[in-house]
Amino acid sequence: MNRYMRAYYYAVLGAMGGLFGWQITETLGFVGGQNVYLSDALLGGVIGLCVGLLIGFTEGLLTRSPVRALRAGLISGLIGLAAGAVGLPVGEAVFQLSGGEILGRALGWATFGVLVGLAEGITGGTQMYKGALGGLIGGAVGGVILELAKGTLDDPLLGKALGLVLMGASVGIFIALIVVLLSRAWLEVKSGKLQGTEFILDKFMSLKGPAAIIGSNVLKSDIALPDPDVAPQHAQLKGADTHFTLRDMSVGRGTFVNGRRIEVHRLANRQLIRVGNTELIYHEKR
Amino acid sequence: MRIYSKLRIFRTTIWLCIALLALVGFLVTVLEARAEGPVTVQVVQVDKARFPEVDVYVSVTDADGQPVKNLMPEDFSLEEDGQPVSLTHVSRAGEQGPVTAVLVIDKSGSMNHANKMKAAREAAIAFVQLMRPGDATGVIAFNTQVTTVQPLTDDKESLVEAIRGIEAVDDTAMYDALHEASAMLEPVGGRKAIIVVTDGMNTAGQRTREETLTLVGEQGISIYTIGLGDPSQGTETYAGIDEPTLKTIAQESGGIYTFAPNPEDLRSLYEMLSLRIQNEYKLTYRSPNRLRDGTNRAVAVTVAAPSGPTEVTAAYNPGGVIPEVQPRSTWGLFGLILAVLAFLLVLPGIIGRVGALVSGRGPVPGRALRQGSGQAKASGQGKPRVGTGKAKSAKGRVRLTGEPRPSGKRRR
Repeated sequence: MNRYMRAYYYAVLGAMGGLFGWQITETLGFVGGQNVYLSDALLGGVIGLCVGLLIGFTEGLLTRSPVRALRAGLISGLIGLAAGAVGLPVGEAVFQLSGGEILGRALGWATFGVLVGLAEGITGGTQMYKGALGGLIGGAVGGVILELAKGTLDDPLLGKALGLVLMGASVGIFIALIVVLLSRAWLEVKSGKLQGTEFILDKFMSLKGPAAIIGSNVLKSDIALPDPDVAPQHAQLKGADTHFTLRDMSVGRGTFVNGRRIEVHRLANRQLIRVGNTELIYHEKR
Repeated sequence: MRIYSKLRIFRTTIWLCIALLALVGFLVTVLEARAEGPVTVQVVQVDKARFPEVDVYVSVTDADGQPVKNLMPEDFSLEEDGQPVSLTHVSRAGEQGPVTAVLVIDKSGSMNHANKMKAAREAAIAFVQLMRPGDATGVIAFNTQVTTVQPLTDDKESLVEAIRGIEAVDDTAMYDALHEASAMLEPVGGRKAIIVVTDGMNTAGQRTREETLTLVGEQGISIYTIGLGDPSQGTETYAGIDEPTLKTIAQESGGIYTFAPNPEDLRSLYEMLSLRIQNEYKLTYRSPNRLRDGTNRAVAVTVAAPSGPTEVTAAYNPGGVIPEVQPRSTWGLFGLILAVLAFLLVLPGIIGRVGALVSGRGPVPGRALRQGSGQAKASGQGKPRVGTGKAKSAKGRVRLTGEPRPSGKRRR
């Protein structure tokens, strides 16, 4: 699985989130009584929850850890709920202030997307602004699609369904792509079950930030490798703003860089790390 | 003979009288018509707060700017998006319900010249005195800062007292003041208006002209702008006033712009505005398109005035950034899209497996190496196969010792 497949899965699951959000809101109908903003808060919350839940699942599914998928999904879903409940009424105001039509729709949905994307950025293993940027672009695209679908298809229902599905998809795809395109450091798994998977290291890069633990225990490590020869907590990656230092934590099993056993090692671009039976390539973008 | 001539004189007199009466009647009609003259019709506010019920406030004024009060409900007709709608209610002039207004007053330093501040205070007080029961007014004053002098109230005494306390000093932050005024009116329903008087350009504050224009365009509050001249620089000079902006704000929001060359004119101006706002017509109808689908609706009001029908247009948007659609069962469509997405989810796995099968059969050079990576790729993209996990790892290790980056060029 390369980076584009990753974006693909994010898109499909994001689309499913949008679909679930659409179906639930369609079943609920207009819920705000006279107040369009109240209705927006409820519907936006539901859509944010669904998109968040599904996009949260993705990372866990791709790294084959159901526990992580469930945990990230729930967290991201709840944050998505809050973000959507705030985001849609704000988007509504933006929509109306910008005069409606296609521009207003794009701006309104982009506002909604920014907040949902921001929420996904928190749980998506990257900085929040990247998620927000993904949501911004995704929302704008979804809004335009909705307006175009409404114009070309006679059935507004179909246009709305497709618009929400595609918004979910584009939020997902842009979050995945932007996380990858803008990432400064990542580990690519070269062998084992997770071959091709990329772990983005950006949020561990800061000297003052937390270190990333490589290990086999899903709950005690950040880069969880399903490999029986990897210790529960095998090695530690500590950021130093411009580079990473790899430190062996396994007792006796060993951590190797380019075939040589190391204790502490300053990583350089494209060096090959081996822990247990899993190989990882360290990438830096400069 | 004498009798005959008397009769003739009598007859002539009667005819003269009739002719005179006809002439008087004709003159009266003509004069009356001239007095009514062409009317100006303006949609001053579209209230969609109770959508699909919509209230359209219409101001009808004669050539002198005085409100025309004698129109009947049947004189009004309305179309939404080209579709004639029946008006559920037309309130007559003066009966359109309470008016909530915010008086926004410039208290920048230049207002100290030529008694302008005093005149502005007196004009505002005159406006307050004309409030009817139920009407509410708030007062905001601005220089570099925006001060709420008096929140919305129907208490005339406290309003007058608050207005008397306004003193002029510093620069002009008018846009900020307009934002503040519109925020003050936001929670209120019914007819809402802002009357702003200024003698200068916007020279301070955070808000821009564009922001203000966007705001007034959509809030459904009409803004009446008054530019105040400085007689010391000649009563004809517009120097220092940003007339285009004041005009645009008034036009966009359904208000009017007026220029007061003398501070003394302010009082009658405020009285005129009060009279106008209090004597508008309110047309109520139910929108034929009752869904909040976020589409802009065009409203056309036709007024059958004595001088001939006059049509004015306005627009509103019921809201619905995510459009409301006719409720019906959507499970079929949901199932269909879900099936498509589920298929897309497993598609790469299927392709990977088929690819592995095909490449596994064909006699390819360097087969052992590719097979290893091909299989790993297949299961990496498809579902994990627990049984083959170790085999792959073993192969991966063989590759590690032999050639560190066998698939490096394949990836990047």
